[in-house]
Amino acid sequence: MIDAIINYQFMQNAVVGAVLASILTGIIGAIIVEKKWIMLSSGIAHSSFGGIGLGYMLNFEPIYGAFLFSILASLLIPTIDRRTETGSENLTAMLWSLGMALGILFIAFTPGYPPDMTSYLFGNILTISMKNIIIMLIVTIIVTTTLLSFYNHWKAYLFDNEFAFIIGIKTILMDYILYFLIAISVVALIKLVGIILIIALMTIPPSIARFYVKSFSRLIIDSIFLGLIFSLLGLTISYYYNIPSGATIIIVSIVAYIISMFIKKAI
Amino acid sequence: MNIIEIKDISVNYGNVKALDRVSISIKKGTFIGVIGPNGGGKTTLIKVLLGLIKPTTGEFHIHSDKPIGYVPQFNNFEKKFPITVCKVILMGSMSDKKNIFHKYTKEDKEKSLKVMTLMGIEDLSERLISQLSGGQMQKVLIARALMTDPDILILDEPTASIDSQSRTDIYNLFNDLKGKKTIILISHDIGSISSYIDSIACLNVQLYFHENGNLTEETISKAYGCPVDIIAHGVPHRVLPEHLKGGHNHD
Repeated sequence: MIDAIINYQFMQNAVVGAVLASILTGIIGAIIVEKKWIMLSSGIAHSSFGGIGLGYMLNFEPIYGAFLFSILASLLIPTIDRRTETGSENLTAMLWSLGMALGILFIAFTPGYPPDMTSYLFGNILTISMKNIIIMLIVTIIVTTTLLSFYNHWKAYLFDNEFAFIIGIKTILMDYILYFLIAISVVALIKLVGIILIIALMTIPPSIARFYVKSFSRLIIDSIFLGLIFSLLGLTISYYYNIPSGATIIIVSIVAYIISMFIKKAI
Repeated sequence: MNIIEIKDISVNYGNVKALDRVSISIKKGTFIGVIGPNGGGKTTLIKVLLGLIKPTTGEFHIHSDKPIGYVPQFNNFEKKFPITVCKVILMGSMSDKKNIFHKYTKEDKEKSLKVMTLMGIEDLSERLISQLSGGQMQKVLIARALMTDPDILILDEPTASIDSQSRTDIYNLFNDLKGKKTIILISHDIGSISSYIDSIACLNVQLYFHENGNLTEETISKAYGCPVDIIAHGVPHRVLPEHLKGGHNHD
């Protein structure tokens, strides 16, 4: 496989993609696990399917459509939530399904043969392009800078939102920023693991790290490293056995979770 | 000098009135206890003061430029967050410096040590909050509130379901702070707070305020609007009010 990495552009892309994906999922994953926004993030990811459909129908890059839809969903959920009694869970479920439904309709309206949607739903790390890498790099820089420049604010916000508000931290603004970061992160990861599998990649590493870490910074750093190990291991297995990479990475992660659960029990 | 002035504040949740024309002025340095039944609006009133809820009508003024020191109910607290005691307490010092790339200074750390010593929790410093007992967690939350150097301290049921030693520790601390800070204490524990406080307010949608601190049968009956059993706190009789405010007959 080392040969393949040296000789083939697609393998180099895959490895770089795995590194960037681990940073993104480590940071956003740790945050959404602590904030308990897991289903919400999954909803935002799924809603982006509508944008992919729109891209095919109107013949522009589907990923840009995905950004449009996920950002719209991430702004709509908190905005409607503040004005109604519906609750963000219910709103998430609606936008989740609405995005998927629109995607299916748009694709049905697309002239010619229907495009193959598997790569968007399940991803394939072996087929990511340079363009995907650049998108991921930009998103990773935005997410990392936002986190690091206000790290203590984020920690206070996640630990005790009410207290953070009282001491003067703008928690409502941070809500919106976080929604936005989730929206751009899930779309940046679509080509790698797909809409359906993103949430597993985001939640499994922090779930394992939570077994033993004593600080939020370690939660993030360890989630990044665990994510990297799982992605590279999954990539290797899928390369040698010629099986779908996204699914392999998720199964590797779940197996690791089960093993660490038993280790935690044994200690 | 009044540090808090509340004028005719009402809060409605849909059709439900949580607070009805509540007015109260609190003098600087007083220790005031707020009692009242569940659903009487105690937490709502606090949230209004903290700016977490906008009142439907009415207004209030807080004459202090520092944030209120708020101690939430510890049993509502998410204890799974991976953070140690000293980091939680340090968070309190963020109130005055919220700049980009914020870092805790040496002074912040020294101050947090001082506060921990005051609360008698310095040996818990490196402990994860998930490993704390209820009483310990409560002390950590009080310590965090003290880090902001507040003029006003608001505590929501600080002694609910904690052991008697921790309770005594916390009440002793209040005695130390008395006069230096304005303290608002919400409690169900009517009997044990009455010896510490300067005055008491009973809140059941409407507010009944007694400046002298004496708990009269009438006060409690008005606020609760139903029989209140305070035998457990050493009062040798059961308060059976006359349902002055159109309460229901429970017999």
